Amino acid sequence: MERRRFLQSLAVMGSATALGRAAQASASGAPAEAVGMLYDATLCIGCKTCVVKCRETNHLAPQRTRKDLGLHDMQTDLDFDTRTVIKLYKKTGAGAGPDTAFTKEQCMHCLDPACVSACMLGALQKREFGVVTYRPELCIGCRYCQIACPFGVPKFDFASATPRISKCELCMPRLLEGKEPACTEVCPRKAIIYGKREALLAEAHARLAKQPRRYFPKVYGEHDAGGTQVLYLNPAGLPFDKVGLPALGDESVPHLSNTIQKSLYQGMLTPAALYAALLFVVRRNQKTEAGDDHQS
Amino acid sequence: MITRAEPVGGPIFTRAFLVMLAFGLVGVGLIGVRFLFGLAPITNLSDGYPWGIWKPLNVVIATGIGAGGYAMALLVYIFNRGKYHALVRPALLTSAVAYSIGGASVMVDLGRWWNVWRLPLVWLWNSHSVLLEVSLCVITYVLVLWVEVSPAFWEGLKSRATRAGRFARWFGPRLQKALPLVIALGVLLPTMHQSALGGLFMISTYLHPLWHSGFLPLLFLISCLVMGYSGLVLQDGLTRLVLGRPQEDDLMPRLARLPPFLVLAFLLLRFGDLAFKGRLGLLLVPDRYAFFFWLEIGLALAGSALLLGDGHRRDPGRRFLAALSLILFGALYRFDTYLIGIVPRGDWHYFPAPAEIFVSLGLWALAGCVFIVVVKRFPVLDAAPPGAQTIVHA
Ligand code: SF4
Ligand code: SF4
Ligand code: SF4
Repeated sequence: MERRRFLQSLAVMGSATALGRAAQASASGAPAEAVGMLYDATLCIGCKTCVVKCRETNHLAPQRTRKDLGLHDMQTDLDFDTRTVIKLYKKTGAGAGPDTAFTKEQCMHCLDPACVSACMLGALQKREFGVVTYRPELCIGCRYCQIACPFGVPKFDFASATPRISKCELCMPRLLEGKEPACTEVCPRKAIIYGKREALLAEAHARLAKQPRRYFPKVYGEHDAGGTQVLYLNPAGLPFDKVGLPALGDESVPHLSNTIQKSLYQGMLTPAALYAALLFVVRRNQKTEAGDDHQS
Repeated sequence: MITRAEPVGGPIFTRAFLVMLAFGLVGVGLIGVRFLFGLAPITNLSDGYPWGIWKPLNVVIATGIGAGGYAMALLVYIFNRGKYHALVRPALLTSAVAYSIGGASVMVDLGRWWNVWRLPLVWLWNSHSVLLEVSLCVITYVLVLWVEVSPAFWEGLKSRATRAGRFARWFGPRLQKALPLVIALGVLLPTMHQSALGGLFMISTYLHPLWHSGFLPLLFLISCLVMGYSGLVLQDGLTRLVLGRPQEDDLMPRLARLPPFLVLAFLLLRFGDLAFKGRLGLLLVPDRYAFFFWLEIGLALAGSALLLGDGHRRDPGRRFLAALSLILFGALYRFDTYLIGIVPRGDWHYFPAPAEIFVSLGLWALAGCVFIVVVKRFPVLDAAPPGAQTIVHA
């Protein structure tokens, strides 16, 4: 906290927006205006309309990574041109749970996002509605966000001389126009829906309460990784890690790093004190020392 | 003990130098390709392995070896062991050169390098970003190092009648006065960024549990000191081999006492941490992670064992071998954390492309060229004691 305040007080001289950003970036609870999506795997039929519409809305090229798969646009994973993907889970062996199920991947819009913590100059930051957005003019292309994001969401254009990061920004331009995201708008089964995070959470719990035998008894993203703004329901018997949603615990991913950094630096007080002490010792030693090889 | 540094002298363009220069030029050519066409044509980087060998090799390992300057400054200026003074200047030069490799390599690696000019804009700083801290500290430290080395240049130039000579006569003494400010920075900055180089991975969920730890900053700090002191021993052996310099027979055995203690601290912390988290079982799993972990430990123990006993530390060959083993230990620990210990999400594989290796070789070779030019033309290395004969110029 101290360190942030110190940097903030430096930041005040420059810009007021940085202040707001630093405060938002570390918000532990969901901001009141946080929006998000709820994906209900029991409703999804795997039609991939959302994937097509997402590509179209964000002006992304048809997938180019797996040309070997033929002429179809058949992305198998998120990549620079694919900000959402529908994946098929298939049961291996006997046991409980459905034989198949779908899942949808895109940015989770974490409440305390690792990518935002990692990004040096705030190219990735939480903005209106808690949406994690990307501003290329502040990105130096270090790819630390890719190391940090536990969901493997930010993708990089390695093939370009002027590359960018690409990720779902919850259709921010549409939200600002008062529309809903493209993928939720076109979903024919309403398997993915848009709304305020609180409302979506209430809806998810209502579904669990109403049909407890239909669902796996947990809303993924309610607490996971400190909470996310995209929430998931799975069919009964299918734990979330089986469909690629990792068991991350309830602590936010950047929490450890932030805490240790904070206690080491104490608002830049530790480095400043250390510097003063070093200076003192260096000076004293130089006085008492003969044969200084720096003497010219 | 009063010591005087002297230029080594001799021709610059020896065969060894030309070979290194050739490697350097190949590297520069490949870097040109990268800037024109992006990272994909010459690297095997991918979304699963966004950081390849450049970061661990050219930044994290190079600066670990380059921690010699830090390690010596700590010993001489902070713990006031003046007898090591003769070693400071060569150590600082090695550091300056090694850190410059790191800086250059980062610029090649950054996808959107043209935005780097925004780094000093304070109001953009994200105070949570460990990488920001590393970048700012490393950039400043490269400057600090060259300033710390620069008395060698001013001394070398001051007797000349040219404008450079006049400047050197004016600037040298003034810099001398301000030097404590710089020296203190030269200890503070590496303490911060060497620990932060480890701290970078605290945020990652892709690092194998054998390496992921809240102690990463401390472990990286200790490992850089091990590498730094061992690097000095190695450098001493190498300058003798390549430049035909007499070896330091007094100081090196004493200096070589330090690494085993550091290794001990490292191992206690490493195993204690794993035990506390209940992860010791992972050490018995027959996979590549456990293998590389034990390889690290083996190198650390072998290197330390070679240095136990006064007589053993006096044996230059043994010392050289020990230093090599300890540097490999530090390097492997860092390489494991940055690459081998990474377990990507999904089915990704990485092996460096030939061009990635050649870019690294090129950068290291150029660094070697700079080192040779500087020590041959400027007073960096301690003067040969009377009677010691210069052997050959490679
Ligand atoms: S899912 Fe990844 S990219 Fe999206 S907000 Fe969370 S950390 Fe950032
Ligand atoms: S690649 Fe760009 S967006 Fe990602 S962490 Fe680096 S600067 Fe931020
Ligand atoms: S919210 Fe927009 S960008 Fe994100 S997955 Fe849906 S359509 Fe794509």
